[in-house]
Amino acid sequence: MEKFDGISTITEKFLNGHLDNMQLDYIDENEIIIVLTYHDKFQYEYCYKLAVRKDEKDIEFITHTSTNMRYKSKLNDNENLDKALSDFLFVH
Amino acid sequence: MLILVTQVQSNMSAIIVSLGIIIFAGLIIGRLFEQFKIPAITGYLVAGLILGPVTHVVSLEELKSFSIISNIALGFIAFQVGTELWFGKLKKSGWKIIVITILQAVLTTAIVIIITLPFVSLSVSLVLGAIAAATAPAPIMMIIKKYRTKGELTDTILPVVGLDDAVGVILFGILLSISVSLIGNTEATMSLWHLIKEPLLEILTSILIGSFIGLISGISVRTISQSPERNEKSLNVIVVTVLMTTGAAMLFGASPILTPMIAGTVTTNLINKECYHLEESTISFFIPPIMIAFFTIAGAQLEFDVVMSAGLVGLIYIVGRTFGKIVGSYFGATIVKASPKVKKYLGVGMLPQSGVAIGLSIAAFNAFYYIDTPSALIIKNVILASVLFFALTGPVLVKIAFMNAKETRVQDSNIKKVKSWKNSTVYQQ
Repeated sequence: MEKFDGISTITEKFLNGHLDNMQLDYIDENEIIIVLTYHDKFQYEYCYKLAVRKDEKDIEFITHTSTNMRYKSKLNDNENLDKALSDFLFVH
Repeated sequence: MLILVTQVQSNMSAIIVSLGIIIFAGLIIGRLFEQFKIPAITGYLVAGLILGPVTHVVSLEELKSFSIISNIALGFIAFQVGTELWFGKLKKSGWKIIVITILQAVLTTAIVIIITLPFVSLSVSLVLGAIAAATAPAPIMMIIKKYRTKGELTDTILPVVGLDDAVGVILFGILLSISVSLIGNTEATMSLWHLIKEPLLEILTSILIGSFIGLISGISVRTISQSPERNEKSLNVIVVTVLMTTGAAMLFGASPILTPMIAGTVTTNLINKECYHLEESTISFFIPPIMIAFFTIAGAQLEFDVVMSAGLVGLIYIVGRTFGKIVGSYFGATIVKASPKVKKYLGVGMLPQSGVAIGLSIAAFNAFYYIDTPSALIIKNVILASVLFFALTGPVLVKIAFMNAKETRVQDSNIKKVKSWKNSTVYQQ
């Protein structure tokens, strides 16, 4: 819950969006795929996906997309968000 | 008998294999386009172009077998457009956004009707006008996220573009109905009552069926929102709703576009914010293959000879829509006393066109095909060709609009990722 709140604040700050869902897919002991589903103030929904490697303390951007199929599009990596998440995750 | 059964099975297997090829090609080229920051839908259209008119891997005859997919996809598009009319969202957007959206959509429609009328029949120009109102949010979102735009233009364009499709679909439902009624009536039988009787009946039936099924759907989604299996159950309810509304609309002579749209609006307004996002995410989980198939099939239906012969109409449509969006947005923004930069650049930012326009052109093609095939072909081909034009030029225009409005904050080459996050200084300006 503490992690969700922290990441929710980061999402709000860097993506201007409200975090709806955070999914953690454990690939192995070292690697986790984090999927952040969020919506902006106009209720458009987005999905931000990144890989976290614990051993290397490394975060790798995977995709950022708008989820609605009518206007599905690949969006840019937000480097500031990646950096903030990295700082947050490797401290907590 | 055995020969007949074998032939039917062979035809069926050919159709299934073709469908697999269509989805696969759409997926690959859609992904490829995404790499170049072009919305995936444009990639699906190009995949269809390659499979259809360019290589003839899929024939026009085979494409007719996929009409059921097109109808279901249209139902989902309309339902999703309907969910945009969520009152919670409308309330947040405010009256200014609603006024701008309606004015720019209506004016664009009117201008396209007037400008195309000397070149095509009234029924065709009415449909072209209605489709012209639709806008694609994807290129706008891409630019907003890429350049992290902030300001009045950003805060106006995003909600307007979301509502715009809903206004466009309503206009389309009404004008398509009038167009079909115009074709069906000869000059001798034409009277104002004849002209409005059938469209009115069609719209009323659509409202009745859409509201009734939407009501049941909304109550169901609300009931299951606390269930641990809510995603799966919610998806089932929505799929049934779309299939029932689309099918019932066809059966009872209602609009197959307006009916699922009304169901979408009613369903959404009966549920709360959490259910709304649940509804959005469950639809997004289910429909991608249907949508890829639909847009790829639409691209494969493009006929170069019709595009060439209707080239002038296409050109006039593009000019009319551009003029309409710019003038309409300027007028709408002036009425609500928006800032000069919104007045000046909103219209240019509203030019991208994509998914909904394709959907509406296919719906118009289906409605016109058996009563006026040449008009059906003109509408479909003019819209598909112009969608390609707006899909390719739109993102550049949106970028210019935001840059001139001075709302972009990040230039693409300013920040470079060095390597990893091990150190705190991983980016170089």
